[in-house]
Amino acid sequence: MSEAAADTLAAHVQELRRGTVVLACLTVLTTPHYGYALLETLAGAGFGVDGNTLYPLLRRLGRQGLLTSRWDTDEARPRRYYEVSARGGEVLAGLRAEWAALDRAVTGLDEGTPR
Amino acid sequence: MSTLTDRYVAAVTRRLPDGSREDVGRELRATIADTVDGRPPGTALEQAERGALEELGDPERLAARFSDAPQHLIGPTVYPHYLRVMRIVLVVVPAVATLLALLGIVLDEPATVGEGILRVLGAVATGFVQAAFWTTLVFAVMERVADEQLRAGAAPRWTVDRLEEEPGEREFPVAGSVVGIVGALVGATLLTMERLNPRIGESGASLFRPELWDLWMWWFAGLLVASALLEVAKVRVGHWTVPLAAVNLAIDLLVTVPLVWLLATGGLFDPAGTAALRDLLGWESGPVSLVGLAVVVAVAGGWSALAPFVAVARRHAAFPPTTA
Repeated sequence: MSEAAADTLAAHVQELRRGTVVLACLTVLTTPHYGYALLETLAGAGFGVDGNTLYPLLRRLGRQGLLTSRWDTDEARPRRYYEVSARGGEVLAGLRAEWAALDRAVTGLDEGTPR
Repeated sequence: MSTLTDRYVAAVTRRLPDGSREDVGRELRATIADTVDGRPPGTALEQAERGALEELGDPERLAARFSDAPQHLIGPTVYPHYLRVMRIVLVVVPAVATLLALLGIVLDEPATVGEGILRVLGAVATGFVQAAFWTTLVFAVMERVADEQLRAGAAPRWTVDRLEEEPGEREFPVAGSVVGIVGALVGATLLTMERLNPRIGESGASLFRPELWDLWMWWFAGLLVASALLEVAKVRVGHWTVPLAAVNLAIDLLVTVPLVWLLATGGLFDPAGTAALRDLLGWESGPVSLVGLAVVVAVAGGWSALAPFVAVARRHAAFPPTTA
């Protein structure tokens, strides 16, 4: 791929990631995670996100009522754990359905497009 | 002595609202510590700390993301409306300021022509800057105060009724042109017959200097005829073109420059005449603002000379000439 194409691709990929990061987070947070652990899990699964994007996002999702959080002071290092709330679960289900629908749509368009 | 992390966290939380400050600070410390712990084996502690902080980036930007405030002055919903308003305001306000400056010049005579011109330029610049600033401020406030619905509603819903009229092929109404032609010819005739030089009062002093009829009034009369011919050409073509605008410019210069010179050097009005006029009207004796009038005439002449070129340019933008 040419360098120009690679740059354009990178920009569009960033848009794609931006659109799916919430879905990815909510999926992982069906079990409680703290910030850094979430970052690592996402990275390990191939969904790399910047910390300065992820951590404010967690707060925002909390303000929207999709996540609950609590401080765990049992360990030596106190950490803030996030988990999907009931409303968050509904939204997650909706997003998963939408994701599947999009996948079907794109596949259908791709197959239906003569080459 | 504070560590790097302490300073960083302080820099971020300083810019956060009171409520979340402590909580975000605690979480940030834990996250930074976790990131440092997660460094590749063999990395120095200090280096890992630097790396973690630089990954998080500029504390000011991080704080902005946490606070969820809009990262722009004027948002996309309202921006086209803003542009539309700016276009109007940035023409109207400087124009009004200029007119007021011209009025001020006539009433309060500037010491020199240069000062008069500076005053006009100052009015244009001030008007422009003020208009730009206040309009932008209002829209920036609206972006922050009004919710999305209000912002979307600020620009009324577009319907087909609002589709712009196509710029007319004909820019000059025929009636106006006829009046212009007749008026120019009549004026030229009267000028040459010296009828336009009113006698004032018992002494019979003339308002304009009689010497003007040796040369200048014939000059102006000739140019009035020329402008009548230009008017005919304008009617036939239907809209401003570069040649028409150029002829207009030439006539304008040939009229305005001598007129301004005559005004500024006191060669236009007969002093006996103006004194008689003042006596007649009961005005206090004071200098007629000749320099002021000169500036006004110069600016008006300049405007009417240049405006057609703007019209041509605008027309070119609307109807780009098709390449042969």
